[in-house]
Amino acid sequence: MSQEKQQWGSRLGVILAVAGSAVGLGNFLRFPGNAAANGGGAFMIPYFISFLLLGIPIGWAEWAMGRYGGRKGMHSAPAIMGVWGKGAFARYMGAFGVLIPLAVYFYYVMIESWCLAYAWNYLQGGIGVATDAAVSDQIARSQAFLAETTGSGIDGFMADGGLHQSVVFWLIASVFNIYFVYRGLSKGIEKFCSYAMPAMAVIGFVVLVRVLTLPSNGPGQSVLDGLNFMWNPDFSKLSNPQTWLAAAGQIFFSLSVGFGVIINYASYMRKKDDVVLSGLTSSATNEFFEVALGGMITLTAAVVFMGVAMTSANTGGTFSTGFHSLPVVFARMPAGNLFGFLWFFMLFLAAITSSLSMLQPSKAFFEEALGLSRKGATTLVSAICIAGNLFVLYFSKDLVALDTIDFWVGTFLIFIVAGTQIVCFGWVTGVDKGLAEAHEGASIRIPRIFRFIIKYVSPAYLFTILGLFCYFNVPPYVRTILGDPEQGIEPNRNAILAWGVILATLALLLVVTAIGSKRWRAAGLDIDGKLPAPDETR
Amino acid sequence: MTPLAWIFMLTSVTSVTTLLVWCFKRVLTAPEKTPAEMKDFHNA
Repeated sequence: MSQEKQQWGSRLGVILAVAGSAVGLGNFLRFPGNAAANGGGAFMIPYFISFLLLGIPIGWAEWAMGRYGGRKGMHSAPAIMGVWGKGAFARYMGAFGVLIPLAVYFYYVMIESWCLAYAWNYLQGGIGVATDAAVSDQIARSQAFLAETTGSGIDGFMADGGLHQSVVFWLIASVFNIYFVYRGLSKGIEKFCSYAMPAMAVIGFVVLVRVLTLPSNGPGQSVLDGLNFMWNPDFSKLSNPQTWLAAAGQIFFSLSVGFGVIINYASYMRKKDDVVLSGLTSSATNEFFEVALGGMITLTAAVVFMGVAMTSANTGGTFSTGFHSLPVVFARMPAGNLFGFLWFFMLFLAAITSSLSMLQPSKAFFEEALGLSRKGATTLVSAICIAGNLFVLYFSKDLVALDTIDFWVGTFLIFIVAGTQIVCFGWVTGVDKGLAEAHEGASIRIPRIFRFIIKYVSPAYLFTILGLFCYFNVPPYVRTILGDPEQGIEPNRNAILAWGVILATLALLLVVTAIGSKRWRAAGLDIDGKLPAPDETR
Repeated sequence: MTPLAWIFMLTSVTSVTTLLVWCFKRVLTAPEKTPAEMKDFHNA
């Protein structure tokens, strides 16, 4: 293939880049709400079990698959999964590994721009939440500001003739992303993450210290009450399948396994680079941000200023925790505007290190499947992303379009891609060959028990979770598209349009995969995984 | 804060922090690749 070769500059660089991809809003906002709603401290039992049985093994598999693909001159999920799955079926399934980061970018950069908008507004004096108002009024104002920022009240809010704040911050975030991706792996993504990740850690510590030293605001509103709300175990929740589903989902989506990013990032590693330790370190970094920072900050601060009842009612999901409750906390906290700025700027950094990773897989795919230059591929990816962003930006009513893409692509399809990967790794190519590949250049060995886990436990656990997920969560989303006359539910136009966008993007990627397959075969590449890598010694 | 909440919080936070420190210690103290190994790139 004729594209210029890209590589990571250092081992630490690739670890920080992968960790940056994994650490996002879910670590700080989704995790604490999830944990508190599903048994508090008891939630950590299924959470760590899922970490050991799903996150770590599938992550190692993806790292090893990616690096091996890179040794064969392939950097995209379709090409690499075709090698490990030994044929066209796995190759076309690999197209989902490009679709996920690309389509998630369509809406993720919007959330990223909201964080930037919030940070900017706090720097300018706040978002208009009165410091001396009642908590319920403050929450109402927070909700109104979020609705103004996202345009969730009406479709086409940004086309009212003026230059809406959200459009400005979306443009800024988009330029950031495109610029760093265009600069390439080492000079762009790696360099940005090498500064952004330590900066996030420092800001996280500053906010953590501030939260843990907050004075009590009355009975039931101390730091210890907040920590108790988050960590006090409710063991009865462990008998509920939804708790196990929530824990597996949290681990799964938080670590970015099956997302199509790790397989692409690892493909730029060298044969003797350590994928076992690198994979474990990036997962550990993600867990640290999630448990030690996310688990200690968000709900603790909310309880101190709002009490347990109001916190409980307003921290169910990512948006309600981050954009409804925390502005109330900052309005009541001394130097709240400064901490509001720091918090939302940290979320912006977390989001941008993730969104950068979403562009690279499709850029690499277009480069190698269509033979485009870096500039050409970046331009094509940027054009697709801007079209996707404008769709989400325009069809903003109730955020249904955003939510539809998030559910079907950013949640459901990740199970499918991860399932395909672990089956290709553990069964089609074979777990012994897979682990031998992972151990090339490794400074630590994967414990032998993981041979059994990767081959049997991870796939069984994953497909059980997928089954539970489909049973509990899919029907409501199907109803938004098809409607349900018996319940008086009309099909939602924006959900249908979002499905159209997903299918159109998938169709494009499948066509490009077909074109790429012909090009790769014509170039003599072993796209069906029948031959050893050029540098293989075994 | 209940004793069980303390136990779960400290165990969880200590576990992930220990894993992070151990991993980074291994990464930062592992020897760099030799020039010969650096040439051993995949050659697409």
